[in-house]
Amino acid sequence: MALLEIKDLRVEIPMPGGILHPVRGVDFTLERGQTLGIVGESGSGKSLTALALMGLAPAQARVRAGALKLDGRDLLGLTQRELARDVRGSRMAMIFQEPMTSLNPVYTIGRQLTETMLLHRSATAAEATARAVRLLERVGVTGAAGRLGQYPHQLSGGQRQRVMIAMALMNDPEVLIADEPTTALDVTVQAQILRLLAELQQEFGMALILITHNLGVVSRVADRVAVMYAGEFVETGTTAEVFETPLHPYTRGLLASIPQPGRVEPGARLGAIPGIVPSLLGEIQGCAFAARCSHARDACRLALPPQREAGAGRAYRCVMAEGEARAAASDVGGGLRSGGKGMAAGGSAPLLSATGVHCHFNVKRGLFGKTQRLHAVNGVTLAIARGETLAVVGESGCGKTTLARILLGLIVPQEGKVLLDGAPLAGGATRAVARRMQPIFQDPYSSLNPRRTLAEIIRRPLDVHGIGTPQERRRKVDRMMALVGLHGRLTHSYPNQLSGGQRQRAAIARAIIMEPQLVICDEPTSALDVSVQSQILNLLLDLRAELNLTYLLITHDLAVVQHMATRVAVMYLGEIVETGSAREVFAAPRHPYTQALLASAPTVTPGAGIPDNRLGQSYPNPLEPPGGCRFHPRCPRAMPLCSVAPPPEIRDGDSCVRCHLYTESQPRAA
Amino acid sequence: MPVESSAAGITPWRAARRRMLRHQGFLIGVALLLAIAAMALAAPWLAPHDPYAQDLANRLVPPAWDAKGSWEHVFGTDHLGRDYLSRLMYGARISLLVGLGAASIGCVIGVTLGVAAGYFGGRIDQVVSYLLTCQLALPGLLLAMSLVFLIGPSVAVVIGIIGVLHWTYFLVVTRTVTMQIRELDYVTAARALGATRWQVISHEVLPNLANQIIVIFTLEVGVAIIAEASLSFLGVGVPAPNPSWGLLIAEGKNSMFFRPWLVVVPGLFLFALVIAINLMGDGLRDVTAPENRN
Repeated sequence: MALLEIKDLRVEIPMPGGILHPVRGVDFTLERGQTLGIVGESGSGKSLTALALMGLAPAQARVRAGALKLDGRDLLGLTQRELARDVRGSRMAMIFQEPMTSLNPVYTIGRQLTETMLLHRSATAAEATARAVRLLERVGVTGAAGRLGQYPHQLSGGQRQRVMIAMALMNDPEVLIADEPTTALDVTVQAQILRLLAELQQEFGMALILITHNLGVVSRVADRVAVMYAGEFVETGTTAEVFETPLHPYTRGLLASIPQPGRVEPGARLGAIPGIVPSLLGEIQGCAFAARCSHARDACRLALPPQREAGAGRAYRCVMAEGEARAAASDVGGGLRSGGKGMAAGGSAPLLSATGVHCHFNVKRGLFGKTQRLHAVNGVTLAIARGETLAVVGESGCGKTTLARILLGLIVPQEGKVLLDGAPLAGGATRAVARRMQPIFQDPYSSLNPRRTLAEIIRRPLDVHGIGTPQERRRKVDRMMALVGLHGRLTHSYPNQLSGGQRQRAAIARAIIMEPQLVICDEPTSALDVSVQSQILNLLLDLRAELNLTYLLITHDLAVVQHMATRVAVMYLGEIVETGSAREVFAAPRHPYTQALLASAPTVTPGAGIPDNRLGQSYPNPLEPPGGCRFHPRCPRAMPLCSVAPPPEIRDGDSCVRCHLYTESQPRAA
Repeated sequence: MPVESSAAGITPWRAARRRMLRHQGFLIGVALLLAIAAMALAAPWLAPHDPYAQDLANRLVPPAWDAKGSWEHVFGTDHLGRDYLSRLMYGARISLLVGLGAASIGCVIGVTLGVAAGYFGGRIDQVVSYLLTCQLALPGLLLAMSLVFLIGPSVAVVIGIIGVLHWTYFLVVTRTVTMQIRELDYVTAARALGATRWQVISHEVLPNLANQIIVIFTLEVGVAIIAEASLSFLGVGVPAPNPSWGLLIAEGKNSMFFRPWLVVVPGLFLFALVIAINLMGDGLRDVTAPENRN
């Protein structure tokens, strides 16, 4: 008998505008020790499926199911009290996305860990403490016994997520539901946490439901995959089969829209799924995906397509019969997708260059605390040639955003200088600089003024600079909107009426309306869903070709870097540790940190598991950076020298690395 | 493509007007406020009697609905025999003037200081916070009383003093919100455009403070009207022959138990005015808030 059996699970939430159907008939079974990955874009109903399983759906929600059984016991008939006593936290546990908010800041770690056991009265306080210490050690929190008295704010994000995992394991659950467990974490920490989850699952024989939007993560960790769209599982099957021969057009669309090294040539257009996820208010007639599907036919819109079986444990919901679907799948799966112009390096004269830039902030704790210096950017030298795309890669807290603001002229560095076309940036963004350099920000929800219409926002640069007559400005706004793919009827819309992708298009239109030469993109796609990410990346590539733009791309997403960049600079704790052409850096990374970053990036490789990046755990506190080489406490190849002397810059042609492993005479590994 | 033809000609202003017409609270508030304003403006023509004319033979006549009342004096007369309805109508002028005037003065002071402190931070913030602490430490009513006493009572002085003493809410709220807005990317984007400080503040920051300012403004109008009433009640507000609603209540308090209409009627008018302003403010916030546009 399956451990967990779900049949026709439906969730309905009454809303002012009608009934929301976030989960519309989900079936699956889960065996002991199995990992089911549920992938889908935001708004597809993944999280509500998990919450419904736990009996944690919102109070006004109506949860119905043909069957909802845990080990043969029907969960639907249980009251909230019985669920809390017998199921939640004891037999089924859940890990949430935000480690920052899912621990209670006013209680110690120890209290929160033991509480779950004491609530279920399954152990005495001493036993619970002993188990808490053992689990904390197991999840890789050092000095576990001492940590029990600490509060959540004293731990880093990765450590908190480890504590959350330990908390979920306290009662030895049979099913562990992890809802985007690593989305808020850096790639190197993500790799460690995922690896830990996989190990623990083996060790405790748990069934794991991993909910994520990251196809790479699912492909590496899950045994089985369910692709969710608009509240339905549109395709399920073993991981290898779903990723090799995706039978549902949506799965194919998703896979085509992520830049997969080796499958998509850098700079080539990515596949894109047009349109957006449909509203889940009210009933959907026919196939929910029909409006965005390139294979849609009349039958799709008339009735819900049948659930088709395709071999053992493989099912999909589409009008296309198996043979036809398999034929369509081979178009995507096979071969290298090319057609990109490639990412050739640009000319030689640097458009923007920074030399020896230092920037520190004074941080003061409390009124009488002593002032500490936070070195956000520490001696960065960088040059961007015309026409190239330079990517600055690094984890959160490494100073990439501060660097972007220095380059934009918004922060004046304490030392060093920034030259735009040979002329220094005089303190603060002057208008002349603004005409040649414009930013695009990460969060399309905060980068547009919510009180202004789209036309006003896009036109603003012209207003500020007093360019053109009102008619000319309006025509130019229309032209820009057309160029970035925004429909003219959105002219008078406000940002909150737009989707994330449309907002990001508007931000891009605002950035290019003054025809700048350089666009600084700070994480331009990391707040977007994969299908929208590909649209924005395609747009950036098109604009680059059309307007001769130079990009400085700041991101932590290595797949995006590999797809877009001509040159890469890797940043760690305010320093640039390696630079080189994108091809070189990805083919033969030299700095151990670059190697670890590349190893941690979850590319789509079914069944590959998560490699060990061999990094020491936590990112150091930037207020107290380690001496010598800043990376040495985490470096798997650290030598005694590394903790004493900062490594020199080893140049080799166009590339450069800061590491004691290399010398001038031997700039590359033998 | 021509802008005019897009989306069936729905401009932001038309959409806002449509939302206003659909918002019941807003409509009720506006209607009530317009009625009171019309009454205030048209008082010389509408008032049945001279509000200052005393008729000591007809003192304390009860209102029309009382057995001893007459339709000659709908709301009766006061202790000097003046027609109460006429005094209420003229009193609306003073209450509206004081409420809107004082709240506007407070709004300008508070928002200016709050935005400056929140946007520039550092020294400016320290100075403004110091001013705030001082203001909060002072007993407001006592200060108002002594100021009126020093300068001498008149309507303008009362408005000025109440306004100058009621800016703290504006400051506290706008300062915090400005600090949050300052960190948002659209402000960074505007700065990267080369926009001047004034352009950033007027175009990006102030419109996003509108919600908070509207809510506090409506509250402060009520507070100012009541502050004027209290000052008048204590005898240091609007000078005596002027018919302010607060003064009416103050004069009526002596005979409150036997002639309750002297207090209840102006109290109801005051209540209606404050409610109208609050309803309109809530409506205005709902109608203009970004999250309610569709």
